[in-house]
Amino acid sequence: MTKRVIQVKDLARVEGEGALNVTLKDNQIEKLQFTIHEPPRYFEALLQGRMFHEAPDITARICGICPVAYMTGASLAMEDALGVTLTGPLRALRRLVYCGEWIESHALHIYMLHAPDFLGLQDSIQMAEKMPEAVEKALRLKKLGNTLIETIGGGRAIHPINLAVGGFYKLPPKRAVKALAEELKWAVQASIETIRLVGTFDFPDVERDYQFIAMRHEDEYAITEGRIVSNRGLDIPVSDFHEHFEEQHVQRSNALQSVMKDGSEYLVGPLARYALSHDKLSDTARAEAKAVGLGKVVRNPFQSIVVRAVETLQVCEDALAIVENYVEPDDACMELTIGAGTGTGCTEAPRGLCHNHYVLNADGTIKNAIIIPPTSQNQLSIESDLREVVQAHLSKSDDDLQWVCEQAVRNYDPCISCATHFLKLDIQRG
Amino acid sequence: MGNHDRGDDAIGPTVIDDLRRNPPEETTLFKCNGDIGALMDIWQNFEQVIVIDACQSGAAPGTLHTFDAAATPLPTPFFSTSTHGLGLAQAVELARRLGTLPSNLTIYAIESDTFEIGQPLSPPARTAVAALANQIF
Repeated sequence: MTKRVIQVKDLARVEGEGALNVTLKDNQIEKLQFTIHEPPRYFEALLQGRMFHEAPDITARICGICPVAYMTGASLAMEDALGVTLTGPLRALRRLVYCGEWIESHALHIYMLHAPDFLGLQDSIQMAEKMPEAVEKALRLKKLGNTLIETIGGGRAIHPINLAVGGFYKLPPKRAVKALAEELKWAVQASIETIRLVGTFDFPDVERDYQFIAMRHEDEYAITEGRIVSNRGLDIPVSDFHEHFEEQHVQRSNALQSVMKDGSEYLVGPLARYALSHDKLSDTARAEAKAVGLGKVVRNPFQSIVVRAVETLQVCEDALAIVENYVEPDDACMELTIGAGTGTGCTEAPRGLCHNHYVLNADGTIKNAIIIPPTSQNQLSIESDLREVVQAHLSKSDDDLQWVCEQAVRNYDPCISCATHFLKLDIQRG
Repeated sequence: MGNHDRGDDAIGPTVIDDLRRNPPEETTLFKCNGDIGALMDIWQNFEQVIVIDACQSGAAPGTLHTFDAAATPLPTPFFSTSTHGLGLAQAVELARRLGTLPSNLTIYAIESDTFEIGQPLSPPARTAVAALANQIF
């Protein structure tokens, strides 16, 4: 009996703290566990008793990379509970600020966190040495994403202060919104170049039969609104989420894991969105995806970097269209009548579907909150991917096997701090 | 650099707050929340840049470390990393390779005791912050 032990104490280039334990006996996987030991964050408990309008600013603190996702989800849920729907220019502004979050998050991940894996580089610093123009492009894209959030979000990209239930506290100056156009035009081209770069990478040969879950909207690539659909026949309103999905607590993880009610695992995020809304991508995005060899569905998790690049192009085009057609709303915020109610808000965070369910008391205080982040939903899928990856690369040295496992986790751009409302790799070969 | 609400991670912002009470001449004061892109943008506009941050190297809390970052790389383990593992040391090395590092860049790092959320500056950090504000200007 041969035994191998591989240990990675801290997974680099992901957010948060997680661990992986693999036990191999005679080259068979005896045990594989992905664990999250980031401390629990208790946001759902913190929200109880707070006023409904505080939820966006409180939940923004769940994440510094994707605060807009939580703020928007909370706002949508409160608006649902209070019987209000954003339309027209207010709705457009909400999508615009969310586009900003996708741009900065995706650009950071594609170039600074994930591309080094495919280039045989340790980190973005080595990338800056070998491909300085690429890193400059990444920083400029990230800056643009931040600028979009700052312009609409009140001057701050991390935990913006201007996003409110019902709209915004103050309208951004129209000239400031219009001024975003020039840089967005550059970003569209830069995104195309990004697709063409990452499309040339060598991808480990892994194919998985995912159960994709994502939002779908009939008029746009869904981010802030839509129904929840799957590639296996699911098509439900967001309010029915908890009738079809459930959370489980397992001892090895501080983040609740999500499964369908039938116990099956599922995947949220770029691959799921791409598969379920490929026809809603722009003509350019579809063409660029096809040109680098992507089909209408991508099942290789290592190609998620290419799909993220395609999505970056999509939201740059969306943001440009919003800016060029922008008409200032009459008011910054819709009128709200406080009262008891139940509401759901579901959006596509950069990492995947993010579901928010709130119950309000008659005085407007929050009675109950359930927040389901994307990374917690992807935990089982991460494990299953790792199982395939380990099995496919058993002949590699311990160092190389460790590298490809870390790369496999980075496919998900996991936000482990979100998942705990991440990688210590321990492979034992026996 | 730093966060006002995480114990000794408030070192950098507290020095800025102290200096703002009596701003030094010909000096622009910034607070950076850890966004290294923003940091790399800001320092391109200045000839001489001073960055103040918390660090953990195992030295006694309150110890002041001084680095000439334009001349030599920063010791990465010293500096707490921000979300996604890109912190001050990475910002310096990225800028160096992109040719955007200021020609005169001094890093003052104060050894930290704790970064616990909601906690104030530790007494050694508070003493070091006051001394540094007097020293550099």
